[in-house]
Amino acid sequence: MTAPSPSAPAAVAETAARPSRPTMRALRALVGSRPAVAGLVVLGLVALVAILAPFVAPGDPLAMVARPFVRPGVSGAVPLGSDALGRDLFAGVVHGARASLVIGLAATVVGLLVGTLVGATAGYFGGRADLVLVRLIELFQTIPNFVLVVVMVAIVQPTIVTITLAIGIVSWPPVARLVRAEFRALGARDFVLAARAAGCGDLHMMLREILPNALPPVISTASVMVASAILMESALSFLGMGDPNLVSWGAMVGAGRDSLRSAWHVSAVPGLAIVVVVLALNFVGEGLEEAFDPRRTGERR
Amino acid sequence: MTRSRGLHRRALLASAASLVALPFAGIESLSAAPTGAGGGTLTYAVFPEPTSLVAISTSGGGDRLVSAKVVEGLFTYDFELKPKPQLALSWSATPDGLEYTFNLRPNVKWHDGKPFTSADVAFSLLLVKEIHPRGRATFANVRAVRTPDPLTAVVVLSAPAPYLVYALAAGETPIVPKHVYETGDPRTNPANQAPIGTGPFVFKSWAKGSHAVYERNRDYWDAGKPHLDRLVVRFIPDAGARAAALESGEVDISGGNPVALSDLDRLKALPNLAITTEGNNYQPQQVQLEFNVANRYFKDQRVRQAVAHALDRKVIVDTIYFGYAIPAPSPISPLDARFFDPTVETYPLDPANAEALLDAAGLPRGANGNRFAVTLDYNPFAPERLQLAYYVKQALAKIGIDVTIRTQDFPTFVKRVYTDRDFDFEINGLSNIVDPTVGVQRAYWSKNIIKGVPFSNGSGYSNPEVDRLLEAAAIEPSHEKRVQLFNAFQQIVAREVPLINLVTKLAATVYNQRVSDHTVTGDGLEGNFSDVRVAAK
Repeated sequence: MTAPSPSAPAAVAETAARPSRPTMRALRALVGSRPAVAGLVVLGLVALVAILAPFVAPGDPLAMVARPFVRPGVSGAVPLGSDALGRDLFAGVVHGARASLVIGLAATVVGLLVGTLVGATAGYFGGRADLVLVRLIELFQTIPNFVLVVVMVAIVQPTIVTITLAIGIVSWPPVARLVRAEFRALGARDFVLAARAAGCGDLHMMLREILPNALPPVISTASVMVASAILMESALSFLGMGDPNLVSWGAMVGAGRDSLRSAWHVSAVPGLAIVVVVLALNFVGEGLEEAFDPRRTGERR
Repeated sequence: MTRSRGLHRRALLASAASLVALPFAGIESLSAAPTGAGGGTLTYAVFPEPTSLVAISTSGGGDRLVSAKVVEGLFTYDFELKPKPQLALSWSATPDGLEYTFNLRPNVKWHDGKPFTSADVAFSLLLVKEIHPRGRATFANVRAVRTPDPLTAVVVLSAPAPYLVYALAAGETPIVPKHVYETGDPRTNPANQAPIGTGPFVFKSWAKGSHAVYERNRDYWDAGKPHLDRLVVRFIPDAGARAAALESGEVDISGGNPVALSDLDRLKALPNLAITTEGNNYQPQQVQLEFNVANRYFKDQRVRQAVAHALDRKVIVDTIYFGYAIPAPSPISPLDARFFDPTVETYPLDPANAEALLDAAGLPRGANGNRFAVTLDYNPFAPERLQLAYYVKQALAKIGIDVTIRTQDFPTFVKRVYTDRDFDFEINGLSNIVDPTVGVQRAYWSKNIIKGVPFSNGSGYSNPEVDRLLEAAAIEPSHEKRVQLFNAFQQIVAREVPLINLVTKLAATVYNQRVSDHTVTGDGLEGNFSDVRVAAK
């Protein structure tokens, strides 16, 4: 191969038979899906509440401010009632949104980064690298996710950073599989071959040519990953392995477990919050999946 | 497995029979009429499941709760911890406290028919000294046990051990048959899984993970007892499942807070159930906030006193323990009526005084309102300790101490506190076992600051006067003088607070109203159940 001029790859890529960007069309399809819009609205509201938590519910959400076990709707000071220690459930839900969203998003970013890196490397280079990385993916997939998270958090101290990393570490394998499959499928396409013929480097091929086209299914997976990360953090806190200095919905459900028979609202209030957010994320994920699906939007790649 | 299926089938048949018999209730109760003395079956839920049915080489909670039904001790103890005869009828000590003579009960037979003699007592005491986790310390001064005749055992000591006569309950120091245990390793003796004793119940079967069955000992030395025909011990690991089993009547009795603390009041209100907090005297559990006295802040006594002034024992009793605890400001629990000194310093709730003490200690509030920041660890063994940690964090925030709570599993906690000594302060619970020399001294004696030994002197507290008092009380034969020594000790420790004794837990026993006479000794359900009666269902 002769040394190409620096501008050659870009020029070739522009002129190659490259699929038109599906973004606009997908966005239109997404907005057309009612559950997805509802999900987006709910998530927007929850994010707003999380950001404004210090104003919506001022003070320390872990403060013991009321009598224990006040029922919802009885006291104006604690509108959603109080738990066994007399902590305000409303403040807990509001501040818990922060922990749940931050951990959900950050863990997903970690999972996406690791998964994309591993999947892209395996799918692009193939051969021995692929063999080794696929075994690595399989190794992680055979270990039950939640057990691995529990082990990792038990070894280090449970803090928001370690919990996020632990959840991220177990959630990358599906992403890696997805990205690897996309890279293998796209690797043989004309526009990729054209870029290769023009002498583009591996990094350029991976990041500029293949990755943008491999992203749509990854994006729709991501919203479901956020949901499962939130659930995993909740389960962890429910078992008492969360960060005790952090209000989280799972920890609140766990704290209410003992009094489920006498004061069910202590678990039900944060439990509902989890249900609503996870449901919204799933709606959005489904909407994205449909939006990016060429069979549904009538576009062919 | 077969056994367990058989049991279920029997239970099923029984419930089917009771359904059929419903219109003929009179006839049913006639057919269920007791045969022999008393009669009936008691279903008793125990957790955790024992590793051994004889507490000879273990102090595990579950093991102790079943052991005494078959294998008895020399004494049992009333709620004031005065010895009452069991296998020994009486004891006497020489004035120098170096020789204890036990007169044994005649005509007692092991379940395999062999007679019980002083040889069994001598063998068992020396075995406990050798292989029981606490026996090594309790019986450290025992030089020999002489057996001048089959019904007399004489314990010869190298130094006085006035606490010894309080350590002879069945759960703490079981008397096992010499002829069964003398061959092989006693820790793995088959009799640990299928016990042979002198007690009111004869072991029948143990389906691991499910239940154990005991039947009435027809040749029991206490004529007319036990009142029960049969004892079924169910092993139910989950608190929710235990609550359901007690509610439905599937289980008759369970002790040691068998259900979540917040669930106790709900169960208490049910017509068929009742709750008692008696029987916590033999091993009252102290809940403590222990400082690392090497910490840069907590090495100052005034800071520790300020923390004590910021905490309200009433809130801890009412909110954290749902009323199932009592304030316990002294290292010796109020449940130990022999030695507890009620006049110790309690540091009542007084935030203003606490702030003044912190100011005097040179720890003023900073720009953000905080004086200093520390990390609080807690022993995760009991679930309510995290709740207590939350309370401590809140209470100390009010006087300007910023507390971060740290969660970890039990082994990590033990290593952090007792091996690495890498902590600021922590929430723990130590039982006052048997006698202050055995159960209290370990946390305050400076010679017990031993790296790597769990539940030793974790604070690192060292006071020569306290050491002197404890060492004197350990070898003082006169009870009155021991009381004086322990009172002086309690005064000092409660004032200097190397650890704040917060409350004594009142472990609840939940039982069906048809059960009576179950908690008759200071060790509660660790007793032998020979007095228990059940009314027909």
